[in-house]
Amino acid sequence: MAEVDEVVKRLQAQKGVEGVIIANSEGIAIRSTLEDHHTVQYVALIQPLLVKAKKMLQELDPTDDFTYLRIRTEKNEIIITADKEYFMVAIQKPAP
Amino acid sequence: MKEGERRQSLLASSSSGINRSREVKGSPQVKRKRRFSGFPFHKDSGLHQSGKGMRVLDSQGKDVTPLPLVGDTDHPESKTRDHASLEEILFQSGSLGFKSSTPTEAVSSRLFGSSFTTMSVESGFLSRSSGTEDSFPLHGSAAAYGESQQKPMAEAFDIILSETDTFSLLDLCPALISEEAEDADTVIQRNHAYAEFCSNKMGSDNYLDRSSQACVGEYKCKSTQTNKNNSVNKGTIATVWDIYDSFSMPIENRETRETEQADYLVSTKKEQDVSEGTMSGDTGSGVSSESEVDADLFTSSTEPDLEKILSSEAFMNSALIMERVIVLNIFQPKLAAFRGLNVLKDPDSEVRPSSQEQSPEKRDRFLTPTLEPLWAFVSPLTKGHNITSMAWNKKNPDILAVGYGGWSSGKPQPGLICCWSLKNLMWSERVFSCHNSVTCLEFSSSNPSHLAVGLYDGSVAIYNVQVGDETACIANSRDCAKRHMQPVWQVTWTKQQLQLSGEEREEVLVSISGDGRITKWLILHNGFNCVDLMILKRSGGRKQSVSGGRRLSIGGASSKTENVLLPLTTVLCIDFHPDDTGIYVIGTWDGGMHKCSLSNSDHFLDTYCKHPSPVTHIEWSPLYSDVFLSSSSDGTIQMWKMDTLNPTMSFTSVQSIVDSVKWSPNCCTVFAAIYRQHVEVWDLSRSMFGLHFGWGQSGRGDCVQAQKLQSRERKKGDQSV
Repeated sequence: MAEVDEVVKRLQAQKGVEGVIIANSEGIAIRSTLEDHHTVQYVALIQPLLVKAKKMLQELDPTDDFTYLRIRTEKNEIIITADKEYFMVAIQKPAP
Repeated sequence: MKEGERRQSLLASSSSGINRSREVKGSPQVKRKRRFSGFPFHKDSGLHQSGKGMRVLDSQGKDVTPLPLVGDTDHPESKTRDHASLEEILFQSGSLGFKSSTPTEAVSSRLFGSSFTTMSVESGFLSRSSGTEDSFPLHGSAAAYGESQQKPMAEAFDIILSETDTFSLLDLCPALISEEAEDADTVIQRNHAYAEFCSNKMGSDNYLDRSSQACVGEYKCKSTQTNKNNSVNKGTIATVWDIYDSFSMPIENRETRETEQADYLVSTKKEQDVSEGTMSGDTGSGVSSESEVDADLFTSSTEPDLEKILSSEAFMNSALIMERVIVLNIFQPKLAAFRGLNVLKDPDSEVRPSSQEQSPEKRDRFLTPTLEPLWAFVSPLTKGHNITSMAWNKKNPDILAVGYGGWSSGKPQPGLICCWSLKNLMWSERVFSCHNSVTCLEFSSSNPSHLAVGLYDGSVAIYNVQVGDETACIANSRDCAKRHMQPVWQVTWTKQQLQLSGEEREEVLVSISGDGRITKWLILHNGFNCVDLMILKRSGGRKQSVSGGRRLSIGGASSKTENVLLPLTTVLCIDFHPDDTGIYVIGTWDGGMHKCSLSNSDHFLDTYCKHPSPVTHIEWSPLYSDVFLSSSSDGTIQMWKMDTLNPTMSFTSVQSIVDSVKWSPNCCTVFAAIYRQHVEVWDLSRSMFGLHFGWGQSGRGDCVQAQKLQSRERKKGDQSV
C-alpha cells in the first residue's frame, strides 16, 4: 500500500503533472489527486473509451494486449494505462 | 379388398355425379362377382371358440379380437335373427346393402337403399350423418355380434362380392336445339363463350384449381398435460477475438471466461449502452449471469477489492509504465538527442527558443563541437552518495548500473547499487543496498542480468538485477576462505576457454584487489569459490617476481609467510585482450604495467613502464587490435602497442589526475578521458596531438563509460549533489 502511495506521489511530483487518478474497472476511483467532481468526470468519460479501445485491439489482433493510451490535446496530455480490473490516468502539461 | 371395392364404387358414382359437363352414362353395370370362401382375416389365423365367445387370432397367435365399438344393447331386430354368425352380419348381402362394422359404410349402405338421386353427395355429408345416425344401424350389428359371440361357428360359407348398379347422383341432361331455331345464334354464341372461358380458365390467375380431400377421417379430441417448454432467445456474434480466445483457452477456463464476460457486461451496463452488451458475445449467458453478478456485487464489500487491486503486481507494472511515459514526456527532446534522432518540437509547447543540440562528433563548420549535458540521473535515494563506478548492461543498452559508496572519511560507508533505465530518468528501477561501499561493477555478457560487484572490504558479490528484492544477491564471497581482504578495485567478466573442450567459452569473473591477488571466481555447487590466477609482490627492481600458482589454494597466506618483508602490490586495473583472452594487462600502484597470461602464473610476459604514479585505468582498443591505452595519476595518457615496450603515443592536456580513459566503441580513433574537473574527448583522426574539446563541470570525475550508440554519448559519473 505504501508503495502505491509513493508511486502516486512521485508521479504527481514530476514536472507538469496535473493529476493522477487510479480507478477500478467499474468506475470507482480509488486514488485521485484531483478534486472529486473532476475525478468523477474523468473516470466516467474515460471508461467507455477504454472499453472501445480494448475491443478494437482485440478485433485487430487477438494476441495483442493493451498497454497504454495517450491523448494529446492542445492544452495537455492524458495518459491512460489499463488492465483488466483497473485503469490509471495521468494528466500532464507538455514540457515547454 | 372389400373396403377398397366399396370405395371404388363410391367414387365412381360420385365422380360421375360431380362432373356435370360430361354426359352421364348409364353404364352397364358390370357386375363383378367375387367369390371367396373363408374369412376376411388372415388365412392362417384361426377362429376358434372359447368358452367366453369368439376370439380371433392372427398369424402370430396374438389375440386381435375386435372389440365392440358401442355397448351391448338389445335391438328388437336382432332378436329375430337366429344363429346369426359374425360373418353373416358383417357380410350380409341383402336389399339393404352391406352391413359392416364401419359406421360410414353402414350409413352409406343405408343411404343407398333409399332414393336420393337429387341429393348431392359429399363425403363430408356422409360422415356427418354418420355421426348422427351411426348409433342406429350399429346397434343392430353390434347386438347381433354380441349375440353371435355365444354361438359357435358352424360351417364354412361362401361370400359373394358383387358390384352394385351405378347410382346416378346428378343427372343434368343437355338441351338440344336445332340450328335453325330462332335463338340458335345466341345459344351458339353462348357455347363459344363458354368454350373460350374454359380455355382461358386454364392458365389465368383468376381461377384457382384446388383439390380437397373427399374423405375425412374421424377426429377424436384427446387432451393431455405436459410441462411448459421454456424457451430462451439466445444470440451471439462470433467476433474474431472470440473465436481465437475460445480456441486458445483450455476448457476449464471457459466457464470463468463466461463469468468474466458477465462482469464485463455489468461494468458496461452502467453507461447504458445497450449495444455494448450484444457486442461482447453471448447475450443469453450474459443476461442470465448478470443477475448473479449483481447479487455478488451487492453482497460483497468493495473496499478490500479496491485495495487489493492496488497491491497487485499488474498494477505495479502499470504504474511503472505510467511513470516512464510521463518522464519520457518531460525529457523527450534530450532523449531524442541522445539517441541521435531528430528533436521534434512540441507543436503546442510555449514558444521558447530551444538551445541547439550538438552531437559531439558532428562535423560542424561553424561551431566547435561541445559536450552538452543532457541530464543527470539523480534521485532522492542517491543524494549524498559518491558514485564510484558505472556499467552499462551488455544486452539491454538502456540499463545502467551505478555503484555508490565513499571511503574518504576512512570509515566505510554502506554502499548502494542502483539500476537506472533510460526510460525513467527520475527514479532508479532497482536499488540494492550493500553493507559496504561499492568500488566496481560489471555486467556479465553471457548472463545479461548478472551484475558483479566489488566492495571496499574485499568482498565480491553477484546480483541478479531481474529480481527486485533482497534475493537478488546470488553469490557473495563473505563465506569464502580465500576472499580478498583489501578493496576490490576491479571486477571483470571474461570469456575463457575451457580446458577440456577447446570450443566452449565460459565466462568467468576475475577480480583484482589491493592485496595483489588476481583471482578467478567460480560458482560451484558448494558456494562461491575462487582460484588465484596470480599474486603480485612488490620488489625493488623493475622485474617483479611472482609467487603463487593456480593450484595453491593457500595463496596469499603462504606468500606472506615466505616473504614477509615484501608487501604485496596493489593491482588497480586489469583488462583482458579482446581477441586472445589468455592475455591480460594489469596496472599497479607503482606505475608499472604487466602483460600476463593465464597459462603462466609465475612470470609476466612483458612489463610496460612509463608511468611514475599509479595507473588508474587500462583499456584495450575494441576495434584496433593490440593497442591499449593507459591513464595514470601523473596526468598522462599513454597509448601502447602490445609488443612494444615503449608507448607509441602519449597525450597530455591538463596536469591533473586522469581517473579513467575509455575508447569509443564505434570509432577507433576516439577516446574519452576524465580528469578531476572535466571530461575530454580525444579524436586522433583530427590531429595527432590535439585535444579535441573538453567540458568542464564542478565535481570530481571518477569514471567514464562509453556507450555503444550511434552518436556515442558519454556518461560521466561524479559526485552527485
